[in-house]
Amino acid sequence: MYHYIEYGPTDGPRDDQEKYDRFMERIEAGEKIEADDWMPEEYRVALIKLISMHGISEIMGALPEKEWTPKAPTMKRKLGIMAKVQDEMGHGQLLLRVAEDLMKPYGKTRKDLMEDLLSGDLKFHNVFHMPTKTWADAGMVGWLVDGAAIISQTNMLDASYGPYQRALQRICQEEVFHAQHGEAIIMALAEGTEHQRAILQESLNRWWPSLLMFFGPASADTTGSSKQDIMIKYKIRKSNNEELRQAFLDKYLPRVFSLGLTVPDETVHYDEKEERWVYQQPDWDEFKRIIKNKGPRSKERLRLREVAYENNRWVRQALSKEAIGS
Amino acid sequence: MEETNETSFYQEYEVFSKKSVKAPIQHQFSLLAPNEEMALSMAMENFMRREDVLDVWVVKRDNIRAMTSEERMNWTKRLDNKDYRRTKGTVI
Repeated sequence: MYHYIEYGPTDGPRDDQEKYDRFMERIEAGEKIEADDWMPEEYRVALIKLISMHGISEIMGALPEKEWTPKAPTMKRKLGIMAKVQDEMGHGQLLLRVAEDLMKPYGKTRKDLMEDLLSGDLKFHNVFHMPTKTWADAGMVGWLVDGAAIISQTNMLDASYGPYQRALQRICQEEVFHAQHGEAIIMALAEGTEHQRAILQESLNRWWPSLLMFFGPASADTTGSSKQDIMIKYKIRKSNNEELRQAFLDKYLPRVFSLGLTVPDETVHYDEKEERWVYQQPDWDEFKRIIKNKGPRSKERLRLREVAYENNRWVRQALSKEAIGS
Repeated sequence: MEETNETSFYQEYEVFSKKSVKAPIQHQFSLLAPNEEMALSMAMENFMRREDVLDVWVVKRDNIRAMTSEERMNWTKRLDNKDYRRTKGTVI
């Protein structure tokens, strides 16, 4: 359907200036770029990095999530978790397709993405490197982790890259179900026994640094590199990391406090004059270690993916053209 | 079996679906599958669990002749001289 041969990534490092200017005019005019349109290498590379990480994170999140199905307390909750796991796998597949079309000029395929993940070249989201301990975590992941994902993804609903923008419309609709499902778990625990409230608070305390880290560092000074300026320049997203984090705090901190919960940071408050939430920075060195697959559950989660990949190898072989002779 | 066999497992299919009796069939997304039957069942299982759907088509991407980027650029811009194709302003 798409034709890449015409415009491969073979242009020089600065690309063709005329093509670049035309491309930027289209971006500025709010037009959508399609997979076979000419695009600067910088745009293509930034999209591949963003979308492959987003796609693989959906899958890496679904793998540990499914472990909750047998442990969920009621049939309704089990079905809710199952539906969520299927959604995340669907999101992963949609996004991988978008990334794969972008990678075509480099001759890379899904196989390369899976291998890059297992070798550590393709990163997945910091939150999916963390352990889950209690049922409150299942609620917390739905309520606040998916809540954070909704904040960052709705910021890209008008992204300049058409295929990503269209995938996000579907994904964001479904993420709302997950956040509501998580909220329902949280509400049940918040209205429950003393023990239930205690595991809820303990869970929030544990997830707090990961939630702050979710949006990435405010600037490249913190971790050495940041793609956020490129993302904004090319209208892939609208807001920078800190603006997204502030939007998250704005939406969720009042809800956290209204449930009688606290966050493990006594300095947290809203500065009326500055119109922003003040909070203590999480340990960004720890963030760097986590996304380099040195987090508490990185190895186990990668192993889950590897096992799934290896166990299903025979299916890929049995249904390949060579095997069925078509 | 050689590992190289695996790559042909991933064929590109475009997925189209129809939401209601009055709606036209509409492009939804693409997916990778080894054959039409699996493409169809993956489309249903992965993406159509909630929404209304009355029909699904899967088409191998290679079988679609779409406009190229250049053709879209050159062929889809309407010139401002099509008044005669519309009835607006026509004196009857």
